[in-house]
Amino acid sequence: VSERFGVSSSLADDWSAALGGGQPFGPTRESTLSVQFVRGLASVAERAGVPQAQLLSAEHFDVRKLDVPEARVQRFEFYRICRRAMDLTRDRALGLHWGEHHCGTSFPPLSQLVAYASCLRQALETLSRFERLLSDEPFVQLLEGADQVTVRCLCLRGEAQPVQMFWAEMNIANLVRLMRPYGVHARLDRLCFAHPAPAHRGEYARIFGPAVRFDQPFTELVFDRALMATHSPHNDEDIYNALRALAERRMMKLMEQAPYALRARELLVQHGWASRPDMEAIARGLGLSVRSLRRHLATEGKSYHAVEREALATVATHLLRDERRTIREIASEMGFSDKGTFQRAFKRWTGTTPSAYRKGQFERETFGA
Amino acid sequence: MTQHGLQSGPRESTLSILCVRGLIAAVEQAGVPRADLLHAAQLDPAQLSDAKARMPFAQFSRLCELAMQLTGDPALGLHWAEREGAMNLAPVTHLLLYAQCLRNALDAVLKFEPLLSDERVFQVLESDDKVLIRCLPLRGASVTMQTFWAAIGMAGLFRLIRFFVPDVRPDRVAFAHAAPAYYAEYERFFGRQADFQQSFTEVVLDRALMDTPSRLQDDGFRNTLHAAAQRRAVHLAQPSSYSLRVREFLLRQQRPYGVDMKAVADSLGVSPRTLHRRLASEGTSYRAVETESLTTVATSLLQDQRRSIQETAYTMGFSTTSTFHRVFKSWTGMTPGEYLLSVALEPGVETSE
Repeated sequence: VSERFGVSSSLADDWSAALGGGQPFGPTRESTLSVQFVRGLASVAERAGVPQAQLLSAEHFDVRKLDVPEARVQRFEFYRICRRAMDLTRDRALGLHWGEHHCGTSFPPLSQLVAYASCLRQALETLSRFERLLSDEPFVQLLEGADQVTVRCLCLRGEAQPVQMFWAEMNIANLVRLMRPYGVHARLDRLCFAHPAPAHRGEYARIFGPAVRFDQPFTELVFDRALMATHSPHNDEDIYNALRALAERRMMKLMEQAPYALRARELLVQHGWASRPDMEAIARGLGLSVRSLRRHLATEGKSYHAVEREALATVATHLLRDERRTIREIASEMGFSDKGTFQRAFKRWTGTTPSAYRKGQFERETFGA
Repeated sequence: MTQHGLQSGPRESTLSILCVRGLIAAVEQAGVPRADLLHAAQLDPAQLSDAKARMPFAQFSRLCELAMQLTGDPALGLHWAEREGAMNLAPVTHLLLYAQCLRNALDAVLKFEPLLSDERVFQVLESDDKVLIRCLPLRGASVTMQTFWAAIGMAGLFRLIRFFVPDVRPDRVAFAHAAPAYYAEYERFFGRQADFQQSFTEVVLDRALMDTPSRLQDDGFRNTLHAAAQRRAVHLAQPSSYSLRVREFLLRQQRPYGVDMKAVADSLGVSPRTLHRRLASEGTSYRAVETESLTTVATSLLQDQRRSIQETAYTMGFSTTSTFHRVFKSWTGMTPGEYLLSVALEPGVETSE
């Protein structure tokens, strides 16, 4: 059987091994978030009666950083501030209240891009295109089925329960708020949380209505696919295009500052796996020689091998998330000669089959609470 | 030659469709389906879809009065401005929230308010230690509409001030109109007693507050929106943009005579009805713009001496020379031959070599 794939079995073995300890695409604590998260959190805490300076100085966070819109913070740093904010405000539902009150201005230019897009489909595509402006690691997944669309929020593996819950509440509340102009809030089929019902479950019911469920396999919202064509009442093509150009410039700048491993992976993913460039081409794309790329990766604690493996996983799982594609189509898109070879290879890297992954088995292990 | 479009006097004042969208959302929020308001106002939903569209003030006033009737809320102006997201007047709102400080935000209000309203809305007066922000009266509006307009203006303004200074205590909140029955709503919203039947509708603040910085600093974002707002202001400053665009379209056509108005409307991305309405709000009509454009085409073709009158008629899309003669005469009061003669006899007219 011919595999254009070029992945040696030893690489596949590495990959399976890496699954034990490493985190191939779940958020790592050292990865960074936009400072906009801290700014939004500080202003929602202030609304709850805790001055911004008090919250941030309690966590030794330099307030001046808030005025640098493109600054980044490490995830664990943000988690610490979240816990502190919940303690100081005594508001366990702070994440929910954030989305309820502050979303319109929290994440420029992404919030505004969503509002001024032509339709919900463009809004959500824009969100996933520029997700990296908010977080190095993906945290929202868009799954489009035949009748329904799922917007899934990835859980934080290994974090303390309050942080996990805050993250889930904040993301879902912000997403619901962002999609409000498209009427999604009133037409949710399901609004699921992976965590059990907390004491403040009444706030969920007040804000989201009857579609809320707890103890679900995923944290996600599900709605009718027909809504994807809904037009925004705020649609403004000129402003959308101007802000999109700004977002593109920021993405480029961000990528220039990102670790080489991330940038190399991004290049590999962009090209698609079947036609992926070799290491020399990747190095050239980053303005480096092969030798210095290898050296940079080494200082980041990664091998080029590992980067390729992550790219592979990203491509495969990304393709699998679109439920309209068959596994056979995905196999051929990735350069496999047939479905069986792809299935076996995928099983070798991930310990699970593509269809089981699709049903969510794998993710529950990787991201679940 | 008739001077079309000049008889109707100055252009009627308009305001941005964004204000109309906001009003409709406020009515919806108050529990009245948007379809009810649109139906009562005989408003075409398609008219709302273009963010750059405008509405004449008279029509907006009727819409506001209908909105108050349908919701049964005389304080709708206050409640509208109070609602979350009510200030979504893109791109102006974001420019204000991301201004470096309150003074810059108010400068931006003055600079870009023409994007929202042809009528001036605010005036800012700084003295040694105070700043007065005045909400100007709406010319020729009813008392109800004046009250409504003052409520939106003042409440919107106050929300902006409160965004910069959350615990602001204004020195004075004054309204030119009489105290309405629901004056307590004003006290609740402004957090202090409001004075009515004053000379001006205004807020007075400590001038030092003008330097309060915004907590949302993002130069790139602000500059992008600033550029978008500038472009839009330039676009708006062209007084007859739709008539110019219709004219440009007709001048580009191979055979401009007999071009369907629907085709013109399609090319501009509006319905024929909307185009009629837009041209009317610019103080002209499709017929007038068409006549003026086709006359321009015809006279320039006629002046090209290499072309006969018959060829000109054919080039313009006329089926016969006699139709061309008749139509040209209805446009200019002259036949094509008389026109050429008059050009030849006119002293001081530059002729092409």
